[in-house]
Amino acid sequence: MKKSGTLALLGVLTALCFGLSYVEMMLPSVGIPGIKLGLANICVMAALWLVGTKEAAGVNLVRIVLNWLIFGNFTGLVYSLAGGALSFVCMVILKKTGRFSPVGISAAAGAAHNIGQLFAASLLTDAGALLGYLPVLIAAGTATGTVNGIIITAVLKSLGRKDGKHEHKT
Amino acid sequence: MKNKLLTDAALIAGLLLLSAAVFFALPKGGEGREVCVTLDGEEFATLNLYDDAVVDIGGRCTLTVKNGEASVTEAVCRDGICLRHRPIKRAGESIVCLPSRVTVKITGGTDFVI
Repeated sequence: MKKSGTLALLGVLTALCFGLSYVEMMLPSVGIPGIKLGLANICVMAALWLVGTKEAAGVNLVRIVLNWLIFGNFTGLVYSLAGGALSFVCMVILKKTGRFSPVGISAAAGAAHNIGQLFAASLLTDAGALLGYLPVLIAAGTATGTVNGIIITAVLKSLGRKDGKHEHKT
Repeated sequence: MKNKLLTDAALIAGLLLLSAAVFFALPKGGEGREVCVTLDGEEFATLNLYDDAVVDIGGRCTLTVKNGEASVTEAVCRDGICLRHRPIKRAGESIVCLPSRVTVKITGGTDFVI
């Protein structure tokens, strides 16, 4: 893909990320802090598969900072950064092994995101009080990640690339 | 592709097992005795669970202790998750308000080991 095409694609993905975060904010909370759908990760994964690691990391970082500037507070930024970083590293490593499809990778990323967020929250508040949320957060992250993985598989298929093995046409 | 389906399934099953393992590894609390409140990660107050009280926590939340149960009854944060949390009474149970960085935890009996 041409450089300008890549740039345009990254811009569209970042914008879409932001839109999806906004849609998620309007959904009612289930009453346990930290449980959400993580739809924005679909765009980060699209960038990771269609463009590259560095570029996807950029999309992820811009998404988190934008969300903080417009909706969040500073502690929220710390939680998001910890979750975003851990899930991103997890995705890159699992993708490199070549053994998992986007569904498995997304499931692990969801769980990793919630673990990272809880870890940051434990450092900032009281570790013992938060530990009880860990099992439910891991399970919820896995479940939402699996659903996102199925979506991203469909997205990658329609964008003409499967499993990152073939070059993107157009 | 079929191969990946298997590894994916194994990965997801592993994560769910991890969640279950953590769940069972955490000891369940007995009857609580005290209510510990932290603000910005530092201890703010410790109250007796069986003395009814209404306490303002740094202007961010209001904690109500009544009939051996603790609940957050007022909060200035946007999401209000702590307000909707059911009252807590068993050791190890907690209510956490992440935006305000307030935690309310029941201690006494068997507590989480950390």
